[in-house]
Amino acid sequence: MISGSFAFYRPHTIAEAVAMLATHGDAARLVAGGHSLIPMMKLRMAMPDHLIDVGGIADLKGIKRDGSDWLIGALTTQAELIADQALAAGLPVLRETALQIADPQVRNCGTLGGNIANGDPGNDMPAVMLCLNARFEVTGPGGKRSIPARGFYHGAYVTSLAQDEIVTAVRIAALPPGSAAAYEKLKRKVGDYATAAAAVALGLQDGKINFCSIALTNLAPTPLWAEAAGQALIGRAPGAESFALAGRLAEEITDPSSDARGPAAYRTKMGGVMVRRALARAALAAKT
Amino acid sequence: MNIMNTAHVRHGSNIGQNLTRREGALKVTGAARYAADHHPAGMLYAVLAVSAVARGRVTALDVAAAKAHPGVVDVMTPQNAPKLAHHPDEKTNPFAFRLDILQDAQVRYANQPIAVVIGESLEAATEGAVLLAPAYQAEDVVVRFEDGEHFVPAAVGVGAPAEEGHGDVEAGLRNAAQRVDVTYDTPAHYHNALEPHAIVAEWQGERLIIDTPSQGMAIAQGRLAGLFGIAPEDIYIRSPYLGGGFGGKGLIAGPQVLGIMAAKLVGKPVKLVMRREQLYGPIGHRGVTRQHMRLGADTEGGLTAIDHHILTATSRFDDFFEPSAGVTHTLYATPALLTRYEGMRFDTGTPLFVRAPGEASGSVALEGAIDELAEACGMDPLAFRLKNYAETEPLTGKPFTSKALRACYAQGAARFGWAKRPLAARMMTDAQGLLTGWGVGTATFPAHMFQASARAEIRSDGSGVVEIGAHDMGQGAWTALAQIAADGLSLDMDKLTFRIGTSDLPDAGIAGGSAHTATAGSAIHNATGAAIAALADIAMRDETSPLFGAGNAGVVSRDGHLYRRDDESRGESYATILSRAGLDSVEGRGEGAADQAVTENYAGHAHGAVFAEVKVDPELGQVRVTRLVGAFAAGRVINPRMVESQYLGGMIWGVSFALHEEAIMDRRTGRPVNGNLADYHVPVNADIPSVEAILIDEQDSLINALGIKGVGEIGITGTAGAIVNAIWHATGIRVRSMPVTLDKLLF
Amino acid sequence: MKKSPVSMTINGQPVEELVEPRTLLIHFLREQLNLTGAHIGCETSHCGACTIDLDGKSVKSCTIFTLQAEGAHIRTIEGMAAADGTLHALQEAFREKHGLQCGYCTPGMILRAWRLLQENPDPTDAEIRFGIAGNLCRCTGYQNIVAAIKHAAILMAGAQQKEAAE
Repeated sequence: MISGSFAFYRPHTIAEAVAMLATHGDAARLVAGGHSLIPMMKLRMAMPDHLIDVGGIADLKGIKRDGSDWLIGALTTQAELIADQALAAGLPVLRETALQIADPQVRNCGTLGGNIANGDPGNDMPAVMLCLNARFEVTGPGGKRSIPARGFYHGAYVTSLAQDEIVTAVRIAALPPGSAAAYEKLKRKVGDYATAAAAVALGLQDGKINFCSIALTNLAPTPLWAEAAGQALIGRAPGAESFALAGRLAEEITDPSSDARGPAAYRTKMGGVMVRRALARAALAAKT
Repeated sequence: MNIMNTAHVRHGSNIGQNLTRREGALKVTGAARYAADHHPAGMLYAVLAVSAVARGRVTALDVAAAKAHPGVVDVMTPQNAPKLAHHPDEKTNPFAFRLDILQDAQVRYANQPIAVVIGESLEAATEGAVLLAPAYQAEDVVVRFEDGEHFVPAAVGVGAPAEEGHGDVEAGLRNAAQRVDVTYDTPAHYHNALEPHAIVAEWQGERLIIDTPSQGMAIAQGRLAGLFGIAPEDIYIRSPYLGGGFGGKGLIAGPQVLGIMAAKLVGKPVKLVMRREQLYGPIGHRGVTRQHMRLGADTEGGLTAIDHHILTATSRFDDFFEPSAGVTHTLYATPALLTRYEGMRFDTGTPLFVRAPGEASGSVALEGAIDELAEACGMDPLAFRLKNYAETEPLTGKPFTSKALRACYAQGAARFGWAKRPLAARMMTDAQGLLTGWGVGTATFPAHMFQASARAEIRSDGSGVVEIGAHDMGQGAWTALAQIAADGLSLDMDKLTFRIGTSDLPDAGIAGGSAHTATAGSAIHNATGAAIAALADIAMRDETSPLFGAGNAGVVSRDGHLYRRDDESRGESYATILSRAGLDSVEGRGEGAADQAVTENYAGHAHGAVFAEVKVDPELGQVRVTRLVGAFAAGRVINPRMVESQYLGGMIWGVSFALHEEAIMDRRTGRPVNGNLADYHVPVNADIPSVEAILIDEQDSLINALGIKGVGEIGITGTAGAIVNAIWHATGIRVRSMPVTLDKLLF
Repeated sequence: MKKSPVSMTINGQPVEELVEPRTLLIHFLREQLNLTGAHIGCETSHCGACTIDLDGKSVKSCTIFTLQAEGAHIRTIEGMAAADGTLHALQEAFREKHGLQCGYCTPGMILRAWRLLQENPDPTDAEIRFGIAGNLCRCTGYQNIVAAIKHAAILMAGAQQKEAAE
């Protein structure tokens, strides 16, 4: 339906945006791509009195390298992630994941910042961020800080981001040499949230796994970093047996809801399947 | 084509042509105005407030808060709603289903309208509806079969008996060599036409003008006339374009009436557009069914008995029971047949007609059970169906007006490659490790005829006009009926002015039951025949006409000319005849209706055979339909591309029935859980495989003068069953609960 | 609610209006500008019937507040045909290839297909299907829509060749 009323602002700089957030407190929300927030406003599940549109702030855009890290502006859209040639070559898992999010129109608007910051357990990028040990660069009235993704998510729609802070960029360290990452998503239909999804990164040396990181989407109120499952593969040979082990260990930490996507037990099981399939693809890519 | 009772012959070349949609240019440019696209001067916006509880009473509405909001003009509640001429619960005819239009504070289902807010903008009216902040006294609800009592309904569908059959079914089952005893569950479905119901209503004194999507303008006029105590002819309905109907716009719905009442209350034109989530309740849905099938066969695979027991649910306040038994009455030959219904009352809106009502739900259960019996008999499912082919209608013994089902089976099977099918399940796997299966289902739908009138005119400039209050919801009426009209007048399409879609035109009957082309087409055929006859009459009496005295032999019409049947080299143009007679035009009127003698003595059905290939990921339980071939025989084809489109569209609905759609109600609250297009799974294009429709030739000289049967709904029937059967063939698992979702295959 | 000024360019024409901040772009187009070709089919940003082209991107106008479109260049279905009424190749192709039945999804489909073909003038069937994944159709089963877009691609390539040659 029509959303509640609000006052609309278009800051030109990050500092302006932060100042507005500080001024209006809890009654203010930022809007970037708007394709999470606006549907919620139309459902009246979010009713800000002040809507701060950061879409015009140039400093929030851009995909660059900072040393060996990737530094991606929070306003980068999913479509821009997909189109960036350097990113496709250097960190292909981001493109692979973005292609699985929603549909073309939504991807033209939805941003990486929005996808990782609002704490929606159905969003795909958070698990990828956990898997890759990304850090979120954040600016508030007190200045800047860098928050590890692995410490960012506390509950459904509950994150470490303070009300007066704005995510400005996502920083992702390059994967160790000989590694590759993959995102495997099971969904009922194109455009749906995940029934279960897994983000994995895996590195091989001398035929053995020397690096493994596994994270899960939509199998709990937050994205999950399956630390034990990843650790368990270190030193093992890649293959059906080790992947099955990782899948089982990942399943153990899940706590999905039973809903239209399936009963909880089924979704957990599918989480395991996604982990196995993602590991197999990552292993193949790591070899080549 | 012959006109009945005269010797005239009319020639035309439009029927059978693949003409593109006449209204296509308007639709691809955005110039086609749907109901919600209108903005009469002074128009206000009306927004529904709907119930958040499924059963109980509204105990408070903060009308003052709503009215205080800037831009809110008025609030309509049971307290101030305009009085109606009679209570909307009065059953003035079998199609007068009970509507919730603010007569009292009672709530009978979730999303029932409980107030209407009228404002200067959509924003203001929406805010007003929120500010009403309704309070309820809620009661416990029943939305599951296990939670209440079952009873035998007085009638099912529209007036069909709750029990029908012949022969001794128990003996037939007892003596059978093989038996199946299985239960199939089908869920509730919502039409989810892409265009939500909407109305723009304007009162001009006692005259009512409305823009609203309607599949039945004349019946809507009648209903509204009764409710408002005005004459039907004082109600002018414009419905030239519908954004889909699928049965949901066949009868006027409560929210549309509320828009009219709101316009009366405020004395200004009002636009009321429903939101998607509000459509889950007041406009009907396909009722949920539980179908218990008991079938028996002898040692040769010949059916000995079919017992089809249907449990279905209606609302607490009105009766409509999904008539799933129809396919059992008409498809497979059996010496003993019994169909029985039980009903239950749920705290939901009243179920109603959704594309292929009865046939869609019954078909999946029957085709599944037939397949299970074929398996028990060790027979190929197609061979089993052929073995039990009905030469006469199983329930009544009547001969069919035509039945080309064998050709459908044969051509469909050949195109699909059915002959290579291994008999056993779980025998085919593809290169990616996906389990592959092939299934078949028989498609059938009755060839209904309703009643219609049409008017035709031939003008002195040689052009023609045909008018009929027909409805195009996307099925192609604008085009197909124009083709019939043009041929009926022996004119080119570009010489024809063809009008449909407004209620001031002759009553074309409802666009439903796949009957519209046959019904309206017959009326057009007869009206144009009458116009030609009238024109011929003028010429034949005119001494200066080459047609003078051609009376007994009759005339031939072709390309805007009449010729003597006894000497086709002699003739003249329509324009010449009329201008010489000093006439601007000549008119003809005609009716279309079922021939009672045919209806009493014959069974009229369209038939088809659908073949499906599915691939199942054994780890995920994910099912993809990868190939779908349907061969259909539905009499004469007016426009092959449009008919093909209807078959394809119907088969997609069949895929959706088998794999995707279900309306889930919360059993505690009775509210829809998935009342939106995110969670109610309408197929996206990635869900849809390569689909092929084969149009089987079929001549039928009995069903109606044009030999037309309907094609809009048959595609669903047979398809859902074929897919369910293919899933068994791929996996060895019989899933008897629709939709077949991933978890059902694994758990 | 207090209205704010907004200006943008729609189908090449400048537009300046006052609008409530919470007015969605789809309602602005349909109710204030009488550009009713873009349609509303859902409330949850799924169906794509409201798809328009904004600053070179296909977007769902039901999920954008009008004020966010300040300064934007927008194309709607009303801007697809030429000034003299000649249909765009996509419009012609949808008509010829029976890519529509009820027509309600058609304006959104055409706008989406247009941008798709700008970005990828020679798409495969799979690329078309992926490209229109954000547009629902309840009538056609999509097959003829894909065929229509394919056909339009051929028509547009032919027209371009002709233009280049001239």
